[in-house]
Amino acid sequence: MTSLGWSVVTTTALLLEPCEREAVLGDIAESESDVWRGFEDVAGLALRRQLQLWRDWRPWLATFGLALPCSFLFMGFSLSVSAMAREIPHQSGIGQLLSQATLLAICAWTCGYVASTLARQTIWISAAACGLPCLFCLSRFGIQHQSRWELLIFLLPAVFGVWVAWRMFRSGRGISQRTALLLALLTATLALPGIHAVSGLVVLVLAWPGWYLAVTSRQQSQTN
Amino acid sequence: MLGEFEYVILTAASRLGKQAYGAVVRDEIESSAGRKCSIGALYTTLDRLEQKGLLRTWAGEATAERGGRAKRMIEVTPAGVKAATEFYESIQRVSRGASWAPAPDGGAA
Repeated sequence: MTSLGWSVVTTTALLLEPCEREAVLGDIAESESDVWRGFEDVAGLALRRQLQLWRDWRPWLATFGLALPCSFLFMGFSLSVSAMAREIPHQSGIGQLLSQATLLAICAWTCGYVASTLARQTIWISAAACGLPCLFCLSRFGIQHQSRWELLIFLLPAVFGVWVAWRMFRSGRGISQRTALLLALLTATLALPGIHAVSGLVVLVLAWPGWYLAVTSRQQSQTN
Repeated sequence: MLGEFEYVILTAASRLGKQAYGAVVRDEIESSAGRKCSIGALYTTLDRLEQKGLLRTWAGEATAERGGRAKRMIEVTPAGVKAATEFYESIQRVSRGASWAPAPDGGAA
């Protein structure tokens, strides 16, 4: 196998878990397969592993219960917060802006964290489920006096949440019960003043990851 | 009851004994069964057999020809030997009298 072919195979093997990657690449090196067979072997195993993950309910919940619907809601929420920031000198109070911006940051962070916790190995599918509506809305954006990039404000805390969850998994830790409960209560407290029929439903959808986190961290602390 | 490919893997691993690991089990299957065996099919079936307690795998030594990478060693457990024996006997039983099965005297049925 040429060095370029081997690079293709080893790069594809990054889709596998480290210990499995080691054994598979060793088997391919030993059997002196050609590039295509090596690639086919590694990609086939990676695909089977991904499909196996989808037998569990968690990737479905992370992708279709969280990433996909919340991306639409967060884009609306991001636009609303940025419009509020623009109107500060005229109408909105700084207090209201701060509370809504904090609510957006907490909800987006929690969603990112929970999506990553639920389905760490399929997070790239969840990311695609979140990213595709963003691209669609960016391409169709037509609101005057607002930049299309204001749609994506929520991505910063969401990506940070994914990163924190990944770091915590690597260090074998989880979020503490107290922190999780604090986040859930803070979300509820910040959401309550502005709640009405429609936004109430939106906040309910955006807030469930916080309560999920509170409940699961409680169960984990009881298990430990 | 075992699946056909599970039986093929158990048989190949059992035949190889202490030398059984991913690459040689794959070669053994391809040469004895005369069919292509992908690493994906092999590794996922190994996982399934290990979950059933029919074999065990562990990280073995690394050799130069593997680029210094560890082997996935395979050992058939007593439960695996029992399951493979049962599979073999049941295949023999259901094949009795079939035109392709050898007759008890050694000739075709």
